[in-house]
Amino acid sequence: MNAGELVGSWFRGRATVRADGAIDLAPAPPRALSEKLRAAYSWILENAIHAASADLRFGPPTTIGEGDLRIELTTGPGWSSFLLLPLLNLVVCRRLLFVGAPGRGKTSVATFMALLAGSPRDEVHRGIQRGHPQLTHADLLGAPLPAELVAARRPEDIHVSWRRWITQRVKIVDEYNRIPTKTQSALLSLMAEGRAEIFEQVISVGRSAWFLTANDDLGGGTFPVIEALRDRIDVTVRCTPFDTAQLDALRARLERGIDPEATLPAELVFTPEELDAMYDAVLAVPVPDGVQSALTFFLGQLDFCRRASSRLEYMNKDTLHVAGKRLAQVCNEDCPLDKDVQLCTQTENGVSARAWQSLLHFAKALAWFRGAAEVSMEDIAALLPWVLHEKLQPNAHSAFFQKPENQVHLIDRATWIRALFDRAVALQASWQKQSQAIAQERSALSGPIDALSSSELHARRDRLRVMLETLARRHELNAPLHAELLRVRALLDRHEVAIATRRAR
Amino acid sequence: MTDRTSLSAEGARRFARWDDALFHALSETASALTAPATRAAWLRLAAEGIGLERLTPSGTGVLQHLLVERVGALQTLPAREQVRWLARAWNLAESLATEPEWLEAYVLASLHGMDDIARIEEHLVARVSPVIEPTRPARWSGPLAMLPVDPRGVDADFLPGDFEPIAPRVVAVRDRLRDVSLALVLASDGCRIFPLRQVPARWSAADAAPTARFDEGRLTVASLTAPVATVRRAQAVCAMPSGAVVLAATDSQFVWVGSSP
Repeated sequence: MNAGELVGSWFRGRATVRADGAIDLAPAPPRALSEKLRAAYSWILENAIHAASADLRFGPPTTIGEGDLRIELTTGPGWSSFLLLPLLNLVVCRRLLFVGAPGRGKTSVATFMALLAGSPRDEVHRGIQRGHPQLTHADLLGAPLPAELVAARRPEDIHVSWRRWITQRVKIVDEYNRIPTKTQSALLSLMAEGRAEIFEQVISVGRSAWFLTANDDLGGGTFPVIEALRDRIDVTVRCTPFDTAQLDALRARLERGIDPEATLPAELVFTPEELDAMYDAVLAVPVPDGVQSALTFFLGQLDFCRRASSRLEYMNKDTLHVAGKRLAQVCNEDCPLDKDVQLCTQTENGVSARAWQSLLHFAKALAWFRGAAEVSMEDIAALLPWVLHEKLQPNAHSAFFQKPENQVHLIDRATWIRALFDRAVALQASWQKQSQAIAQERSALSGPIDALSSSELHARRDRLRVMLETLARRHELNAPLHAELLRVRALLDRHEVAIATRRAR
Repeated sequence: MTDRTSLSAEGARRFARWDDALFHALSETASALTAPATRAAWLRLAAEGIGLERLTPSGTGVLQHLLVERVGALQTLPAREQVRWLARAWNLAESLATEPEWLEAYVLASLHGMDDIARIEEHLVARVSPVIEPTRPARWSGPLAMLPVDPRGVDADFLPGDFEPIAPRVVAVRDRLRDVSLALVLASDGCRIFPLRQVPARWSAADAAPTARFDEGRLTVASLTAPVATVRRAQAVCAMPSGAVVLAATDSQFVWVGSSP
């Protein structure tokens, strides 16, 4: 390396002197998108929202205190879920619900997300859909102009004047639980199918990040939210209290007439291309096998119910619910499983594939935001409480919740879900020795079938039958074994079908 | 609206980390500049520097040194040269931010010893050249005197571990217990130590150096042997093709450095 050339190159850059003797600075190169998103987080936290708790913590934990007062310390960084999850939702373009008392900043955070996405402030405020009992389809979606409606001879002649908010990237629906049930259906079409239809005219919403708000149960909603709409919510964020240590900042803001929305720095605003690039970058973050298998184990635990059916494939909570039964009606002393150990007793329901997808999408976004190369167990553990918050119902009658030390989990659902996951990780570790042996045996019997001779095929089928029988006889039928039995059964079915097909020829 | 007022408003509008109090404090410095074009250029760069956090209240870094600490010297240049010098200073600071951090720190240390700001480029070439340009391989003919250097001034808890050559006369040394590293710049006028967030790639030509060994209080490189009386057992030892040698002891926070023709 030539020092003269290197040093010479250092003096060339974006600062130059114009002919008139003034200095000229070319625009600075854009910073990395994840860094920009972190800067947006910091700015909003320090200048607008002042959320107190950094409840999403990373790094090895240590706990001090005991009993009612236990404080978890970590060496890594921490973020407030109230602000970070909306930022991640802006990136992954899914559907987020803020819940909390009025005045806690739900709509403000959503508004900042729209501003970060580059919408002008007036347009953002005009685009906010405010739920109220008189909100109609036309209010929400738009309507044909009356003159055109009268003149039209065919449906395709009708030109619908769609509301502008529908095509905005960031969509804000304030107090969605005050929207009449009929209008909720129109909202459901937009959120679920990404389109709306009026007079055979269709509009597509495009890639969108949805932000909905709802007052908590004490604040009340005017209408019950239809289940399908509730199920479309990917992640729920609970408002955090105002940080009273920041009262000075709030006072200064008041006295100086500072409006944070009006002062969002230009360098934090994302272009549509940057938003798309972030979306793509997040999708590319890998999920390691170990993380995926832990999740599979966890979700399998939630869905399983040994007493829902005598048939293996129907031993799940859906079977109970379709029969109109609650888990508590069968999860009692007649079930031999230990209610202190098994997780199936704690949840009324399992988790849908949609929730699983939401979790993966947000976990990838969180890993990317943190600058990690892949999704980690920490990302999953941090997000699970918020992805499953409105989806996982506790079985309050479970022996687990009857214990005084566990009753608080019926109030603080986020902490309960986190504890549930931690317990699943421990259970998986204790089950690992058995599961590895089973997986090895299963793997040895799961090679391609077509190349097998008839006698080999029969031999392998017989070994699978023995394996299934041995598993069922030697182990207690719990959720992990149930999952293994189903896998071996599926393998056995393939062999039976192959034998039958060859016989038919 | 004055330059200061408009730059202050623009800074708040553009930058997330804008520090208006710092801008107003620093802009007092610009009042020492008599040429209006120089003053305007200086304020413009100071505003950009604050917005990008290259100028901070803690007041360290290349831009801080050139823009703030050298403002008096800037006055000694002909007026028509002052804006050009400021543009070059900005580019230097911004370019160094993309170089390995040890190099930025070494250049900053070198700038402190600069007498004539008009000759900044020549000054830096003279300081950087011996560190990054490969020299003729050492003959290992001696003498070799190993002298201790103390990294505790940079990191009080540092416990020297493995060495990794990263430039002809620069060695990274990893902490034995923690995930931290330091850079030892083995310049002709002494060894300088800088913190390293990340150890850069190994300097590929380092493998041309002979293997160094340490046994029973004696350091051996090729046919050269030198006693290091204060070291009983070596933690790591590394020789560079240039003749530089570094040694860490198992029971010391010091690093021993020496050089042979």
